[in-house]
Order: sequence, then C-alpha cells, then structure tokens
Amino acid sequence: MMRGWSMSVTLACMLGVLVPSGGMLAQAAAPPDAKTWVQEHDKNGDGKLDREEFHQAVIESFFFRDTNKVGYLTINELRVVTPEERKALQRNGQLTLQEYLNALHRDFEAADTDRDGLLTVEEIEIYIRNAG
Amino acid sequence: MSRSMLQTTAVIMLLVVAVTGCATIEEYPKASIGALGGAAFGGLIAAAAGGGGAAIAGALIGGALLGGFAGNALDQRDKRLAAEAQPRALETAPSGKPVAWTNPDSGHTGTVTPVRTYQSGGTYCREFRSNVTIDGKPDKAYGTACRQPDGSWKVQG
Repeated sequence: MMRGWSMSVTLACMLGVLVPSGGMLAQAAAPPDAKTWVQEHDKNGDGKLDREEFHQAVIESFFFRDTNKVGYLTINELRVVTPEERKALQRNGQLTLQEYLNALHRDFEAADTDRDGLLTVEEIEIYIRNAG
Repeated sequence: MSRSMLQTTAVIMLLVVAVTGCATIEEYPKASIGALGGAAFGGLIAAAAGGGGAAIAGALIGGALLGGFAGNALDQRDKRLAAEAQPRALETAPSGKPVAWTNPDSGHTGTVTPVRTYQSGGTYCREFRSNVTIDGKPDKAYGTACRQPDGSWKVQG
C-alpha cells in the first residue's frame, strides 16, 4: 500500500502542475482536476491518455517545473517531494528528466487498472482517491 | 528551359531542402525555402533598432519563420509583434495554447502555438506552429526552436 501511495502522490503532483488554473499540488487545497488535465493532453480526442500523450504531458510538466531551465529539477523546484523523487534527489541533489519520466510511467502502470494502455479520467481519479 | 538548366535547378532545390532540413517541406514548400532570407532580415531589423543580443536572438526567431509566409506581406510592426510573441509563447505557453498578437494599424493578426516539448542533450526544444491572417487570408508555418543558455530561443534548421 505504501508503494501505491507514493506513486499516487507522484501522479497527483504532476496533475497539480498541469491544471490550467495553475499551481502545484501544494498550492491547491482542492484536488487536481483530472478531467481538465486529460482534455488538455488528449491529442486524438478519444477521451483517454495513451502512453505517448502521457509521455508528452510529463515532459511538459518537467519543463514548467524547471523554473531556471537548467535541464534538471532541484529540491527548490519540487514543493511536494515524493519518495521516488526524494531517492533521486539524495543521489546528487538533482532529478533528471529521465528519472522523472521513469517515476511517472510507473504511476501510469499502477493507475491503468484494466491494463488497456490508456488512462481514463475515472482511473486517475480513483488512483488519486485511493492515495488519500 | 534546357535540360541542363532543369538539372541545375533541381540540384539547387535539393540543396535548399537539405540545408533547411524542414520536415514540412512537402506541405509548405515556399515557407521552407523562404526561411533563410527571413532570418537574416529579422536580425537586421533588430540591429537597426539598437537591440542587444537577446533582442537580436528574438528577432531571428521571428524572422526565420515569418520570412516563409507567402509574399512576405507582413509589415515592420507585424514582424515586431510576431517576434515578441514567439519567445513568450515558447517560454510560457503550454502546448496547444496559442499566444496571440494583433496589429491594429494593419489589421493583421497572428498566433504562436507550441505543439511539442522535448529535451535534446539537456537543452529544451519546442516545436511550434505560427499562424497569421493577412487581409482575411490565413497562412501558417511550422518550426522548432531550442532554448539558448542566455534564455533566448533559436529556430532550428
């Protein structure tokens, strides 16, 4: 359960970054709006996120979190640090895009409960709710 | 036109395609071939206006793409407004969200929309689409720009 909790927080962090009204999860008292987030990144309009759409969304979130644009994230840019992120940060104080992608794709697998390779709004909401 | 002239023309066109390296060459052949001249022109405008390094870099971004639009019908103010919108879009706009510009004098309008973000050797690059409407006629071009250490964005190719 601890594993599921940590991954949920990671996904929730990313959702918080990408919600159009802005702000990291830490800034938002309300939970991230998964529906808006999926709509923003659902390029083919099927109402779900496939791996490629998700991948692009993760890269974009990394770009906007990297406020000084040095190509990696530091503790100051991560207002909410998940266990996965903390592990990476402890190695050299930096979180690379590859480490970020690896963590978030593990989230994808955990949230995709029907294993169809697509994330629905419902799956994301359930995944986040279970984290609580 | 003689056979040898045709062959020479074909070789020149292939070289232009190779140099610009534009993936949209088939869909927007004029835009791709026009890019080099536009880039030089954009830099010239910024230098004449007394712009510093960042201003010149910004103008090069605008010039490189705007030079490709049919007939190059944008006036100086259009080009300046578009050149200002491009780095703003690349730096701040999520993919799919357009940053708009309007020239009230000419009535020309445009948008710059990032479409994809990626990292290349630790450098951030973004593909983008630029739309303009000149006298009611829409036109568009595509490009890729990479963020430079000084914070400016340089169009690739």
